Amino acid sequence: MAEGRTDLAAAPDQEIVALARSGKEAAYRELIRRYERPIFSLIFRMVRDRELAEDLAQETFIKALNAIESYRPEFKFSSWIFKIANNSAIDHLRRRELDTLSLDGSPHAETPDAIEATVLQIGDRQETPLETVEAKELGGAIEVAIARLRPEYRACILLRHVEGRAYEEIAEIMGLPLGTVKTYIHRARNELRQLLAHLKS
Amino acid sequence: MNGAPMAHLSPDDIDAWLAGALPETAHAHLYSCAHCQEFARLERAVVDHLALLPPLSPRADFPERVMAAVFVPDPFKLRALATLRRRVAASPRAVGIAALLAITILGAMSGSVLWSMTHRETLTALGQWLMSEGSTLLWAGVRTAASGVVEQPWYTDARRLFASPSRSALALAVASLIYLTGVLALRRLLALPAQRVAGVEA
Repeated sequence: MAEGRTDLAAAPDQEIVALARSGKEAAYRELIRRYERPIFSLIFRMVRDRELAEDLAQETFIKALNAIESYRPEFKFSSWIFKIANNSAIDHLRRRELDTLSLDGSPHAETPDAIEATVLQIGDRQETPLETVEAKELGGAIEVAIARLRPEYRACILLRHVEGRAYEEIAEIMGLPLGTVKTYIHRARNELRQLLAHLKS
Repeated sequence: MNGAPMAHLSPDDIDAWLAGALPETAHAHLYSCAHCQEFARLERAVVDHLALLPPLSPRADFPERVMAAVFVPDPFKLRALATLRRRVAASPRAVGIAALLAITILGAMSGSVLWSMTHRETLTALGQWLMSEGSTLLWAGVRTAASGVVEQPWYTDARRLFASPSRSALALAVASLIYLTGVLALRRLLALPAQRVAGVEA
């Protein structure tokens, strides 16, 4: 049993998908194990709400795994599942008009604790850089800066520099021309540079 | 124009530099241009910050929640389907027979639907005729059966027996008792013998 698990862990995605298609439950679990963290990270950084990110990530996996018969093996499995995740997050942001950062916590939070937990620790535009640095560690400041980007820029920059995907793959995931993806990433880096300028010191 | 200084690095050049694939001429410019060096340094800093972001994990029960809603196909059914497909595709003759069968079934179904749609009055008339003939036959059957019972020699005795309520109740009780005894006897006869496992006393 343990040996079988090791074999699955070493196998390439296409092989795992073939096993899943033949009805092997362990293959489904292996695909979840491989992609739960990257998919959840991407969605969470897109929507900035843990509960919502859990739901959207779950929806992404259910959609992908239930439609595994329609997956075409000539494409990367990672591109396919990232595409579903990204569409899910972007659709949600458009539907709920959450593409601008909420400073008051998640609109889905119902208790004061939940509101507190989902509040993005960010000062308004007038806050001095020093106060911001004092309030948050570096990672938090970057997360906040990413949250300020347009959703399309956010998805592109996360896929490129956090998930390490190639430009061509990002174009496939986003359904955009390669040139547009490059432009989005350059603009996103430019905006992040300005948003993080106060961290220079 | 040959002596003109090279333009500053483009965003694509910076991408190439970040990936360690900047062309030699652009590299030379980067070494000599303070503006491009500063720009490249800042871009590198942003990229390094992003690369440091940790992956985030959903709750521990995430795989279970997903699997509860995922339909995993039955491997035995898949194998049976694959065998059927293989058999059908085994020879041109098998493919031909399967195609002929499919065309015949589809043709018959389509023909039937088309005929029904274009002959609604005929279908209605046929339905009415069947209903009237059916009810006439049913009534005749009931009458024949009833007259058959009335003509039986035991009919007068049976009527006499059921004329009084006490005798009816007695007859029903005796019949129920006989029925129950029969059911119990049948159950006993049909009961499976207890299975014995080697080395274990029942």
